[in-house]
Amino acid sequence: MSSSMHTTRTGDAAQAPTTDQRAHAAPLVSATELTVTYRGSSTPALDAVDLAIDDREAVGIVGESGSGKTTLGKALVGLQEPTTGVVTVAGRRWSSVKRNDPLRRRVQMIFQDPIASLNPRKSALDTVAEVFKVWKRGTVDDAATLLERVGISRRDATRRPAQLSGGQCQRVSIARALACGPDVLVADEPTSSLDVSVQAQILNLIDELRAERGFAFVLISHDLSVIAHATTRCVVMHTGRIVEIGPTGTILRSPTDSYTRRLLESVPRLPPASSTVPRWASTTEKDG
Amino acid sequence: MLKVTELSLAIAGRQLVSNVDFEVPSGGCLGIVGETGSGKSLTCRSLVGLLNPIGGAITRGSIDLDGHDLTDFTEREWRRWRGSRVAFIPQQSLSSLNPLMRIGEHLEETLRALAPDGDTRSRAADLLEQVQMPRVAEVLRAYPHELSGGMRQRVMIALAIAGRPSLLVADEPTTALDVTVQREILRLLTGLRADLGMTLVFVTHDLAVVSEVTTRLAIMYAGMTVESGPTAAILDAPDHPYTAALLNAHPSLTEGDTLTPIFGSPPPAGEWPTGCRFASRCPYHSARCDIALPSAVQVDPDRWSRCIHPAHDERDRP
Repeated sequence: MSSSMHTTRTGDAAQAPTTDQRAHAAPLVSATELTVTYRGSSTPALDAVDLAIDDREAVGIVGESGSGKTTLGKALVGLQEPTTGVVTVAGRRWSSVKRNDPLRRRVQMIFQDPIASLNPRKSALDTVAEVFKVWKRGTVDDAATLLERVGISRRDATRRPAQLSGGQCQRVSIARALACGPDVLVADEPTSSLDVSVQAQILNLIDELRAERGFAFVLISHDLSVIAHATTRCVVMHTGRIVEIGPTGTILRSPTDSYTRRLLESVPRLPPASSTVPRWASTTEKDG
Repeated sequence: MLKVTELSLAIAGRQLVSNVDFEVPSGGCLGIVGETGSGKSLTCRSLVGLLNPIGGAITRGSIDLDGHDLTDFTEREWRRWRGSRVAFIPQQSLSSLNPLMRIGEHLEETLRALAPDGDTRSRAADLLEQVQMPRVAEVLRAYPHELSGGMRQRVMIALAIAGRPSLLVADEPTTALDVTVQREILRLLTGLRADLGMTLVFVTHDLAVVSEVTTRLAIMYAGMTVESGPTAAILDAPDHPYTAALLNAHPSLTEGDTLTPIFGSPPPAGEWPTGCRFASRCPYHSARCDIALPSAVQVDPDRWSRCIHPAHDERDRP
């Protein structure tokens, strides 16, 4: 059993994995009793959260505004200091990992607003090439090849974020993260600002890249349908705590927590369609 | 009855919407669905006479509301109608309250503009009750920043229904809200529509949302309506390839569901091809599609689709 299976609710010392147990599975990133309280706030944004990310798995973190999901994502990649508790990467605390330590590149993050999260003065190619250069992992040509892989042509690669669409910018962000050769990719609402047709392109792209490269994927989203599509394990957060954790399918089918149930009941659903192609096309196809 | 026919809109001389057609019976709820840049927000501004402030104008077509052609309205007529006959909840409604004014003042200001002599204070409280606001007395004294997103949206709805309009146009009223709050606001809007007998035009990019609240749909793409008709019928068996593609790209709550993206991107606003504007992305594209923009074909007694696929011709023949 992987150590992550122990990561149930909060503050439950009896169920928290011991150091010995964790040594066997050794998740790359792991949060233990993680609490974050922002300055000036009396209530913690994260309250004693335990979560370990296993190799190659796809975990969804779902919750509403203020549930702490973004804070958790930032803490997992070392962008948010814990107030108490620990986040480790390959067994080391983030605070002990220097800025230029190669461990840094193994955990990467992409953000909700793809245009704002890219340097407006750099072309897509420069953005990605810089990463290859900093980590001495490749050349400008490698950057162009990677950009092509995520669907940015050599011509579009010379453009700056403002000259690209939101979906294209998100592709560039993905390429920038992958240029580091990560073992874990944390994506904070990567498709929330995109249209549904572009969202499908990006989610499918991440699926393909995961199959090719085998990184673990942490998807933070308010959208349960996106979580359902892209993840196999799901963490439901509410007011800074994990209220439910388990296989995505099980949680969607039979949630045990009352908040999870309320969340699921609130999701607008499309009625099942009898035809998913234009209705005239389905008759002609059958005839033909 | 609200009936929009062959509507075209321009901003600063640039044609951004053309060939929009839809209708919704009085008291019905129409969903206008489309992706970014499809012209849905402009279309709904035209329904409430608010193109002027953004430098826009109606260049062609008609908007008929209960026998009045709104495209002929002067600014003066619009001022008389807005608030009392038609009302609008804009897209950034969560930030459109004045941060320096208490909620009560917002409501009273609107109520005074509608009826200068009434008892605005008690009417303001009534309005908040009507939108099921908790702790009404407290909220009347509160400033906008003290309220949650859901509560501010309730205030916006209260302001919109203050004049008991017969048409309420809401542009993405739940997009910025959490899903549990979205559910409450959808319920509220649906309830108010029935109670007040309003016609509701609901603009969104989310097909699942419209499936739950609307009776009719208009699907927009590149400045035009590609399909319109009863919501249930369209979602059950789409006629236009774009509608079908949107449905296929929509994730459901089923685990590991496959998503079919729509490849490519829509033509830039106003730079449309001569033929069908969806042609370059359409899996059923043929040379005929590029000749001229297809006209809206009546595919059912109550349903139109702008596609010239040969199958249509065959079916239309007796």
